[in-house]
Amino acid sequence: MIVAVCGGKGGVGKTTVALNLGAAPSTVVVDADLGMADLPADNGPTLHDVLADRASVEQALHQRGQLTLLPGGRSLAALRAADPAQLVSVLESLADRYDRVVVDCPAGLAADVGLALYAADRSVLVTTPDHIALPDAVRTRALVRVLDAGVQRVVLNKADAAPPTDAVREALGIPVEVLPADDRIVDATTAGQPVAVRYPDTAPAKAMARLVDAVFD
Amino acid sequence: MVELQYTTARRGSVVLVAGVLDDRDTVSGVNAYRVQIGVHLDGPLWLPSSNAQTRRDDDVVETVLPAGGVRGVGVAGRGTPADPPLEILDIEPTSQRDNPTTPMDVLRVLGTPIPPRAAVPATPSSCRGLTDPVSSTPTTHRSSAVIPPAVDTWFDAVEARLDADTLAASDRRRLSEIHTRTTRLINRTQSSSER
Repeated sequence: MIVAVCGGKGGVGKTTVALNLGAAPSTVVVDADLGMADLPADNGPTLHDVLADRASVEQALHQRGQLTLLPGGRSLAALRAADPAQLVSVLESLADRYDRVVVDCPAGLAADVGLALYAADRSVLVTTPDHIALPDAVRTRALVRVLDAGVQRVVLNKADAAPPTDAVREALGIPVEVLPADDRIVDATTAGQPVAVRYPDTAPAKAMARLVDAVFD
Repeated sequence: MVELQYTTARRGSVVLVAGVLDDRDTVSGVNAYRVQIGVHLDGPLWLPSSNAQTRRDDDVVETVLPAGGVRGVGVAGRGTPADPPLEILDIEPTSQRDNPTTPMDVLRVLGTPIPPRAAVPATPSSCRGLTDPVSSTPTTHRSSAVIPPAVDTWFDAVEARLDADTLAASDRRRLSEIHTRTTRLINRTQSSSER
């Protein structure tokens, strides 16, 4: 199963959601932001090198704690060597080996988002509950629809005590999961860990667990 | 019925031609039309970049017009426009609007995420410490280690013209001939190794 985590606006929490989905068994997380990687490699080959036929997928996989990660590259020169269309076959090859492939999509509606959605079986639409991010989520949903990567859940991230859950559900016609604005989620993401690992049995960990169950259901 | 209206305007030495396709009468069962437009301008042309709405090939622009909709097409050139400067060459009903069916369609529709050459720092050393070890090798594209330098240089020049949207028809022909000959040689190589 290939799951694209997308959202349109940058900074809404796509990487946070992708990292936490990646904690599930037999799961690999792919940083598909070809221009500005959010999950870069400390060393060794990256997705850029795979897309440029300079490294195999196996060589570029990294293990970080319990996360298996195909990191993005940060070199623009290396990106120019890459063939972005190969992203689809890379994701499909990973799906042959792992039960779940979670794709952390970049912001915007460029081809690296489109290619991930093209390959994806389903998607998660992440947004913050504000008037800037929500319209971009609607635009992203239109692209998701064209590329047939059905949205499994909308994530209202960084939500306060009274998020517009019903309004978003009615506007998009998609079930909504809420992730609270919580420093523990931020801290776990900064550490590159799922919140359930860094802060087990806490309210944000439980909210994330509900989301993971809903997405992989 | 699809109609094409156009206007021309000169800005210095450049002629701008603005075309508007308008489907005034919707036909039952037709979602969209694939329309080929011939461009009649002497000299070098600047056609629309390939994107969600248009494809281009030398002096022909192909676009998808939603049924009952309106779509604009703009071209520019340095020569004298013929009368008419734009002409519908072919109209084909299609059930498909712009839905991509291959990864290459996705790239065509959404645009490549590869940055233009001018946006890449010429001296990676200025970013030392920020690039990953494999990707920071001085390789500028995937095959420069094995392609003969003269061919490599020509590929770079073609790529630069592609980035600058100034690819010539001769470039396309040469690339096609290279592709044909390369494919033939690969097939012969494989046949030889199987014997």
